[in-house]
Formats: sequence, C-alpha cells, structure tokens
Amino acid sequence: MKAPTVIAKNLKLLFRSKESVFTIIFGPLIIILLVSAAYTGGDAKQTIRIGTVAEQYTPLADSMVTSLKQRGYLVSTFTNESDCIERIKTGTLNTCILFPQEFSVKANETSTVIFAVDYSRVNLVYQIIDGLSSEFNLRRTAITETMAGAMLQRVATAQREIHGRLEDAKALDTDLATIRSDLGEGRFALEHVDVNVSFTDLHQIRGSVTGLSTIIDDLRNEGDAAIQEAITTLQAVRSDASNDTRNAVDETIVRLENASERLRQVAADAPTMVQEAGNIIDDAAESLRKVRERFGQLVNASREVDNQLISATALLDNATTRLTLLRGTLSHVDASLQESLGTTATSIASPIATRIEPVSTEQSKLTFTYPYVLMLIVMFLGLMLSSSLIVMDKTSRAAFRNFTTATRDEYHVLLSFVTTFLILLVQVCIILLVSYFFIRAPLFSNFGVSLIIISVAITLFSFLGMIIGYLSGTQESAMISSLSIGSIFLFISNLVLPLEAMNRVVQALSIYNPYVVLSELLKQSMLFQLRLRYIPDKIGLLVAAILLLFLLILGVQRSFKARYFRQRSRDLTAKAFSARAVKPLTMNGRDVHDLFDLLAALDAMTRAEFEAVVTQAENPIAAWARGELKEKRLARRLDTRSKELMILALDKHLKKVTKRLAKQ
Amino acid sequence: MGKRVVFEVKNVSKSFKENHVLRNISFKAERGEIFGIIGASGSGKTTLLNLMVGFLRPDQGAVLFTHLQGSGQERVFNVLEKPLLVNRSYGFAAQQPSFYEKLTVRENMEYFARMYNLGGKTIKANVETLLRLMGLKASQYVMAKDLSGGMKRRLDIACAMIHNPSTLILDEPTADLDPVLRNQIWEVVKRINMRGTTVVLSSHHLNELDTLCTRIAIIKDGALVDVDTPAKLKLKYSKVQELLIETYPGGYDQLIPKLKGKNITSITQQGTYLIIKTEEPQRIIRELLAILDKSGEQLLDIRLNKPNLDDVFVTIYSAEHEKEGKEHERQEAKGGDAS
Repeated sequence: MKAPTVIAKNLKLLFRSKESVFTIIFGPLIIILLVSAAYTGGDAKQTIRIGTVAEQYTPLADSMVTSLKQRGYLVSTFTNESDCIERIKTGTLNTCILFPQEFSVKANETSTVIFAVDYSRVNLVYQIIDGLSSEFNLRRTAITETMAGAMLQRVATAQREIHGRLEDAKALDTDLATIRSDLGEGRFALEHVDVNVSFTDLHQIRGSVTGLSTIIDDLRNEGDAAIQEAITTLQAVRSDASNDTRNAVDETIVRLENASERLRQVAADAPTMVQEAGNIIDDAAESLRKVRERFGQLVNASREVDNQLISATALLDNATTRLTLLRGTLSHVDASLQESLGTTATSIASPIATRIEPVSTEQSKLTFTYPYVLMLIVMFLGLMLSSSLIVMDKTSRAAFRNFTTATRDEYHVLLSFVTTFLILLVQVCIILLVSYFFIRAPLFSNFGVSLIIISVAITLFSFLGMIIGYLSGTQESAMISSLSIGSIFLFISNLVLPLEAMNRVVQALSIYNPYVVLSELLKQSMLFQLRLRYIPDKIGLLVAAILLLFLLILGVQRSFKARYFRQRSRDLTAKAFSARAVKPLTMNGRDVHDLFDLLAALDAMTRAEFEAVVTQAENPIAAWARGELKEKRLARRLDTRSKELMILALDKHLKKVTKRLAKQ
Repeated sequence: MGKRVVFEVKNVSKSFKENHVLRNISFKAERGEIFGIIGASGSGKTTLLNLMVGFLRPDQGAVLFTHLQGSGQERVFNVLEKPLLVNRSYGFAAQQPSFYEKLTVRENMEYFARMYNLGGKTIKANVETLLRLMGLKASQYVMAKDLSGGMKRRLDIACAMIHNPSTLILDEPTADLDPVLRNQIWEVVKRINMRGTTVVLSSHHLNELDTLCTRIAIIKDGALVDVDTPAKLKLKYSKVQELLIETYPGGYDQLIPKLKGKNITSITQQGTYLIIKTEEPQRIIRELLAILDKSGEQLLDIRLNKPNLDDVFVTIYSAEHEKEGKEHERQEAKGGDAS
C-alpha cells in the first residue's frame, strides 16, 4: 500500500518543518480563537473616543455627556469645534458631537446635534454613527417620552372631567325622558278630560217651582174638597153605623180634619217655600252660570296648557336629541382620550417600533458569522496548505526521484490532495470541537450536510492551492499567491462589505466566487438546516468545478514536469556559456571551464587560496570573465577582493541566466 | 558469444529551440560494464542521460533498452513507450542528490522502495543490504539534511538502487566532493557493479574514470567524438606526459623562459610546483636538470605523470580550439577585406 507511506511521508515533512507546523496546527487554532475573541468579548464603546463641542454646556448637553460616559464611551469635552475636528484628523478622536447653542428642549423648536466623523475609516464610521445615533435616539426618546407623559396627564384630567360630565348628561337625559313622559301623561290626561258638560236649565226649574204653588193650591183644593166629601160621607155613614164604627168614623173624621188642616197649612206655607226654592234656584243658577263661565275658562286654559305641552315636548325632544349628540360626542372624546391614555408615552415617542425577527433561533453575532469564518479558515488553509505541500514536494531534492520511480505522477498528485484533505479535515474537526466547547457554536444540528459542504470546500480550495503550488517557484510566492487569491475571494464576498453595496460587475462575479457560494451554503446548513436536495444545481456546479480543477492540476503538473527536466539540464545552461570556445581559467590547480565550474571552485577554495589568486594587483577571475566570457557586466561585479561578494555576484548572475534559459 | 546490450542510443539528436545540444549520437552499453560519458560542461552529457531514461524526448533517433522478462526472454523497447518499466529497470542519480532532507536515511530508502511497488519484506531486505553496501548503517536514523556531502551522495545512490535496477545511471556523482569523498563514491560504484549492475556515469574527474570505467564515450559540443576503453582512448588521443617539479627557492619566472622552444606543450605554475607537459619527458628532464644547475635552483621534488584522460580531453578540445581559432581569424580577415 503506497498511499499510507506517501501520506505518512507528507505528514512527516509537514510536521518536521517549523513553518508548516505553525500553519497546520497552531495557525487555525489561533485564528479561530482570535476570531472568537474578536466577535464575543469586544465592546466597541470602550475604544470609541468621542469629543463633545459646546460653547456653553447646558444641563441637557451635560446630561448627554454624562450619559455617554456612563455608557462606556471615552468622552472629551471641548468648547471649540476646530480643536475637536483637528483631533479627529490626527486620530486622537473618532468623532465629534457638536451641540447647538443653548442646547435644550424648546417648544416649537428643533435642536440639531451634529456628528463629525472621519469617513476614511469606513469600517469604524458606521459603527460610530450607529452606536451614537442609538445613544442619542435613546436620549431623544426619553425627552419625548417625558413630554408625551405630561401631555397624557393633561389628557387624563380632561378625560376625567368629560367622563363626569357624561354622567351628568346621562342623568339629564334620564330627567328629560322622565319629563317627557310626565308631559306625555299630562297631555294624555288633559286630552281625556271631558269638557262637554251639560248644565241643567235652572230657569225651567224656577218656572216649575213657581208652577208648583199653583199645583199645591190645586192639590189643597182638591184634597180639601176630597176630605170634606169624605167627612160628609163619613158623617152620613156614622149615623147608620154602630157605635164602634162611629167611633172609628169619628176618629177618621178627626184625622181627616187634621189632614185637611195640615193640608191647609202646607198650602199656606207652600208659596213661601216655593219662593224660597225659587230663590235658591236662582242662586244656584247664578252659581252655575259662574261655574260654566269658569269651566269655559278652564277648558281654554287646558287647551293653552296642551299647546304649551306640545311645544315643550318638541323642545324636550330637540334637547334630548342634542343631548344624545352631545353624549355621543363626549363618549367618543372620552373613548378617544381613553384610548390615548391606553397608549404609553413610549408609544407616542416612538410610534413605530422596529423589531428584527431572526429567521433562525440563534442570536449570537458569532453564530451568524461562524460559517463565514469557518469557510474563511478552510479557504486559506486549503489554499496555503496544498500549495505549500506541492511547493515543498516539487522544490525538494526528492522531486526528481519521485519522477523516476515506478509510481504514476497522477498518484502523487492524488495523494498530495488526500494528505491535504485529511489534515484539513482533522483541523476542521479540532476547530469545530473548540468552537463547540468554548463558544457554543451551533454545529451539530445539520452536521451531515455541513460536513459534505466543508468537504467540498476543502477539495475545491485544495485543488486551487495545488494549481498555485505547481505554478509557484518558491514557498514565498506560493504563500503570496494563495493569500492574494484568498483575499480576492474574501473581498468579493459578504464578510468585509455587503455584496449589495458593491459594484454590479463585482456582484455578478461574486456568484462564481467559491468562497461566497460555499460559505452561504454552510450558513444555510448550520442556521437553516439546509437539505442537499434543494440545491442540486449548486452542488453540481461545485462538483464540475472540482473535476475541472483536477484536470487542470494534471495539466499543470505535466507542464511542470516537462519544465523541470529542461531546467535541470545544466548542460543546456552551460551550453550558452560554452557556445564559443573558451580558454579555461586555471585557478588553484583546477581548470575552470564555465561559470558553474567557477562557482564550485570558489566554493571549494579557502580564504588563503582565494587571496593567492585574487591579489591587489590583479583579479584573473574578473579578467577571464571579461576577456574570455565577454561578460563585461559580470566582470565588473567580480572585480572584488571578497570571496563572498564574488560568490554572491556569480550566484545571482547564474540564477538570472538559468531563469532566462528556462523561459526559452 | 558477445555481451548482451543493455541499452542502445541510436542516432539521437536533441535541440532546445535553436540550441543543438546533441547531434546524431549512437552507442551501446553492455550488461555489467561501467560506461563513462565525458565531455566539457555544455557538451550534452546530462541531456543524453535524461534522454536515456526517457525524461526527455529526442528530436531524432531513439533510445532502446533491453528488458529481461519473467520468462527469461529479452525484449527491446523504446524508453518512451514504457516509462514505468524504464523506471523499474533503471536507477538514476542526478548531479544533485535527490531525497527528502527532512526524512531519515532509512525513511527515505523505505519511501522510495514503496514508490517502486516493493513489498514489505523486500523493502526491509533491500534497505539493510544497501545500508551496509553504502556504509550508511550507522546513520540510518539520521536526518538526511544532517549528513555530510559524501553520505548524501551515497544515500542518493542508495535510493536509486533501492529497487535493484539492472542499470544505474549516475550523472556527475562526485561533483563538488573532495577527493576523499570522491574515492568513497567510486568504491561504492565498484561494489554496485560487482553485484552485476550495469553503471552508466558522467563525470568531470576524468582521471578517476580512467581506472573505473570499462568504456568511455567522449562528447564534444553535442557530438560523439569516440567510444572506447580508457587505454585505447589514451593511446589514440594523447602522447603528452606531465612533468612536475618543485625547486628552491622557486624562481620559476626565470626558469620558464629558458624552457621555451624545447618541444613543451604547456608550462604552468601550480602552487609550489611547475607543471610541464611534453611528449619527450626524458629529454626535457635532462635539459631541465642542466638549467637548474646553472641557475642555482635546488630540486626538491620531481614526478612524471603518464598520459591520462585529462590529456585525452585536452587534446581533443585543443585541436578543436585551434581549428576554431583559425576559422575565426579567417572570418575576421574576410570581414576586414569586405570593409
């Protein structure tokens, strides 16, 4: 099994290099810890330095300054605006708050507070504006709330008054209803009073009474006559009658005679009595006339009252209607006031409250940025580690031997990737565990999908890094290229500035940015439990990109191999120098045929040997380079008595020439 | 019955743009030999070695290698057709040692053994064998970066040998090493060769190849000048012998003019020695002793070096220099006339 051997070899090489150990083990941990610290423990207020400017600090200005200090800002006070602005320019302050003259809350007047900020510090300026605006909004809201509170108190008093009056109006309404009812009943009673009274004609009675004397005279005459006749009869009968009967007749004649007497008496009294009755009747008639007259007056008065009752009822109705309207209005006002009182000063001061509803349950700032940060680490590690591994392998002395073994180049490429992948996977696991235990990041809710996305990211960025590695000549250039490409991906993403705020072209390009695509997918997976079946197009594109990159790697690797053998062909380089017949330089018992020989000879020489060759009087090496090699520039550089300087000059020249020839 | 050919370079040419690095090179290497390739810097040695193992594609011609199959049957392939088989059959140690500096000696060997698809037991056995063979047993747990130059080179060869290749190719294996370390490497090469491995190597240190290589190919400006044994090459290309003298008080400035015009190829001062190259050393020694006697110089040391590969090399290149110089003069003369 070659794979474990190659992977073990790669790991040994990486772990035995201090630089790569730092990159592999400590780097990611330090990054994640730094990121965690940056996102969790920081309080921007502690570091934002504010200057406040006011010619005279009013109580309101003072209270605002105190409030800012209490909230943790570092506040300096100024009375001159230019002093404060100057401090911003020199970086001593981050912002100046310019209070207006006589800063206070005034009726019908708005006071404007100005924030002077340095927009060149774009990352800080929004934080300052946001932070201080929030502070001032809080203060402004507090003032508005106080004012609104006082207003609400007045409204409450008015509402209580109205409420009392409403009760009165209600009672009045009831009274009016009662009155109306009474009036109705009165009218009803009046209407039902029978004013059609027929008075007896007492004159007729008077006539009848007057006639009664005659009748009585008639009746006395007739009675007297009857009684006389009876007595005559009875006296006739008496004579023929027994004693007893006589006696009885005698008694009857006596009684008859009494009756006749009485009758005469009555008859005699009758005219007086009639006269008296007539007088009484006259009196009665007179009284009755007067009654009739008064009754007529009463009826008229009753009619008058009825009319007045009608108009009173109408007025009452009108009043009731108005009262009803008034009550309705008062009730509405009352209800409105009640409603107003139901609101708080806060709701008046801030009638529109905004609230951000998170689409996920996570609330920590780090949680939102965690996928981006994690992907950032994967990206940079993938690029740097794989490029580093490739450069380490291809620039190592062993590169040549790897080409000469019976193992295919593709296998080496694949195993370099597998090594990178395994290292990164372990690192990601370490980072995830650290994150889970120390910052409680939500990692394992959709772990399977997240792991797939992370694996795709590792693969893609590792492949990119491998291409960078094959195209780079040194570790340094590979690192710089990796960082540059990573930075480009980073800047065309949401992590530094929102993509929406960028140029349209950049926005369009960002959809091809693997960092953007993968970090968004990871975020969706970690925060919204994304399922892979919803994003087959994106996964397909990423897989296609990975395949394309793998083919590119193979192409680049083959190109590198071909270039590598050309570069190694020292004969080719030397050929350029020995194209002409060159007389060798004999130096310290050794023939030097070309610059490579010269370098080796110089390297092997002791200082004493060198000084024996290059004396104060002559420098045969520089002369040889000038005369034989026709390298005048090099000869000037070799014209030194320092062996080290000479070797340096020679080495530099050879590198330059080798590079030029390799390009050919 | 002739020796079996391990690989054959057949009419190979290679250019990088307008720079013709190799021109129509052809030779064969046989099993079990140590085959040296020499040439000046820029003559195309490394390019040739890279072509031999298929790292580079020739513009013309082909490099063929013979593979002994499991059935014992030999098959010839173009190195470009079977890169993995070539990698299994060849071990290659380049000018710069190639291994992981941050792995230990053993880890490097085990890693590369695994890259050759060797099994656990084979790896263990091969590693142990090579650690002993290369003299690295005591340093097996030392980080490669902490090894000395010679040990690094031995580790590199060990890594190239870890899969028991039939052919080991060494490109300048002793470059930048001091003589002691160079000797150690050559010893290792000899031991490897004695195990039956064919070795192909290039080097600047021609004299050291002299005793090491069975055959040597000389390349100049991309063209193959000759392929032969060191002895035959020396015979063909150099009769010049090297005379080294050391005198007291060492007034060589007065001595050199007196020796001029006495069939001396070159005369140079190297440290306290005067080096005289000549085809007639006996006559020059006699004359030299007479001059020293007259000038009051006391002879401290005298040595005579027989012709070596350095001389062969100088001969070949000097001849070419002369030719080129004459050509250059002719061109300049033409240019002068024209103006």
